Amino acid sequence: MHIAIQNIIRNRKKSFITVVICFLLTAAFHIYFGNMKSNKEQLQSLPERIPVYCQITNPSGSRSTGISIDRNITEGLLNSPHIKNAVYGVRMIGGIGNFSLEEWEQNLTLCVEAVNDLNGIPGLTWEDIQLDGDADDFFHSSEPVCIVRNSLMEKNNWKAGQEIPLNLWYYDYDDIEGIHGIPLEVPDVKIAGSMDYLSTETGQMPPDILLPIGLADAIYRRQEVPLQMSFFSFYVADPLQLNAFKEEMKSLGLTEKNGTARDSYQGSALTVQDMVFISLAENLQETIRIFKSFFGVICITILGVGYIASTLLMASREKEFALMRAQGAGKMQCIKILWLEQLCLALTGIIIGDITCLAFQNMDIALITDIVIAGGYMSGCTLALSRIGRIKTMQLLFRAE
Amino acid sequence: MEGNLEIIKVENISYTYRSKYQTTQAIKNIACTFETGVMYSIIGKSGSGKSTFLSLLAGMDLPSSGRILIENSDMAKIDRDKYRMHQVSIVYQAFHLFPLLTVTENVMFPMELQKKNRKLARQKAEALLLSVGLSEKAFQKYPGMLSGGEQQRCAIARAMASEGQILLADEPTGNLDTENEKIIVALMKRLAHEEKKAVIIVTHNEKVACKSDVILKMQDGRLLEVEP
Repeated sequence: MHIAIQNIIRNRKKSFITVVICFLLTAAFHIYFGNMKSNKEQLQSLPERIPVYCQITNPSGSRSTGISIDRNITEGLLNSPHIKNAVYGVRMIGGIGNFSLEEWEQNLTLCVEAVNDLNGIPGLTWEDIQLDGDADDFFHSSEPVCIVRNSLMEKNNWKAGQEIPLNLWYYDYDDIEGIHGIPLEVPDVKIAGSMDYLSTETGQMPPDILLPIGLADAIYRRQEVPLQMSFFSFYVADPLQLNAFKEEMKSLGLTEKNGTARDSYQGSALTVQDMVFISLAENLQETIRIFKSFFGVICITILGVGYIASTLLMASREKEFALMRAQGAGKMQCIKILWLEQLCLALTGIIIGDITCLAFQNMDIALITDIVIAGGYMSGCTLALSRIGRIKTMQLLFRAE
Repeated sequence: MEGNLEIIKVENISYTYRSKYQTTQAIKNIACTFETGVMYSIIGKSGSGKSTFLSLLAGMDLPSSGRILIENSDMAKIDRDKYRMHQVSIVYQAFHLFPLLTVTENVMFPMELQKKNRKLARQKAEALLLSVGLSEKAFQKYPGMLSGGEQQRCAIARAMASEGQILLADEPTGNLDTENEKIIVALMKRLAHEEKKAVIIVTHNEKVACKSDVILKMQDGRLLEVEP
């Protein structure tokens, strides 16, 4: 080691060139690995940045609300590990108090909507709602509570906390009668809050009364009526597993929307807004694939640089090698001295490269870079030294000058 | 010669160079012995195989046939790196000093390979340099800053540093003027007679050969005669 360090100091110019070569290799590799890591991180964060939104629609895709979604589909979706942030609800019609079937036309004037989340009502925000207690708790409750539109409160002179007899009817859809209402139950519902909500962005009729979905579920169960959601939307939990997600959706009986299908209220198609995500993900994956495919080439290049640089820089030192052999140094000892020299110089270049690049790269990249550069360069150097080790000492020192 | 030790015995050796395009038999069936305390000169024309013979004695390679015994041990069976490190030293026509080491460091190099204490090695190197007639001024100079005679004296000091009993010299005066030639030959003779080394010089200089105790004449790879 002592001799190797002395040699480094004595061969300053050659040592400097080796350090510079290793520094440049390290810097280049930092850029390469940095870019690959950045692309991988972008791909990993893509689901957060570009979430894949899905809606249940009718087969033609023309309706996403006011449809009838089979209870099995709803349960299948809610139990699926592939979905998150599901928003769903059921739209009903209602009136106040008891009335006979014949009086429905005068009394069924209220639009009632039961949802699991405020996002189920387009355009309605928390700022529009005046509520005692936590608003989140309201939608997750199954208590007989409701939120009533302010205009309706004023018209009927209702107060918050007051109980109202809500006559609820549900929508039924069939091919013969089309859409029609059927009486459900007349529960007493406590007014938990009020809302200022006049219209929706979608042009859909705004609800007069909001109920928690748990209450609707309890009422439907009591009346032994299957609860069929009127809308259901969600996000794909892991868009990088889109294929597995789509397979599962197929197994639930959901089909792709078909623009030529007959208009209906049956919610049996799935619209997946994944075009932007797929396009970006494919671009990133292709970039990463290209980077990875270059890895082998880069390793061989580093090995080649190590070999060529060592061969050229050591060429003028063949006589020194032969002389050391003549002095009694073993072949391996001579190679070890030169190898240690190169290792010290390579590590110096690599460390300088790391320090320079750490300003904009991570430590883990530095470690991978160090291993690849040191391994590749020193492998090339070893090959070059093994070639120098084959020189004939006798012919080199005793040949005619 | 009485009191001297037979250190090298050469038994019918031959050596053939094999290159990609040709095969040359450089040494043909040589047999002789070398003793400590004697200065030998091997003379002959260029291409007679003198340097090849010397390099075989130095253990740089093994003969194609026959054997060389070093203190009765077959060179083929001993560790030739250790042999070169401890028993034999070589002086070349072109000096072959390390150009990036100072004069002292060049002399210290064999001792560093032997892993001797660095401080002691420096002291010994300086003593050897003084003994071959180099002044202290030259100690920290690089070989390129010295004259040919001074470089060869430095090379001899380096050869003495390994304390081997055999000193081989390949045309040691080939690049020197008459003045320096005399100094170097005198040094070689001193090493043979006073320090009891077997000094074997390859030369085509008859004046140098005449100062030797024994002259071996070579021609076309054969040893023709031995003149005491």
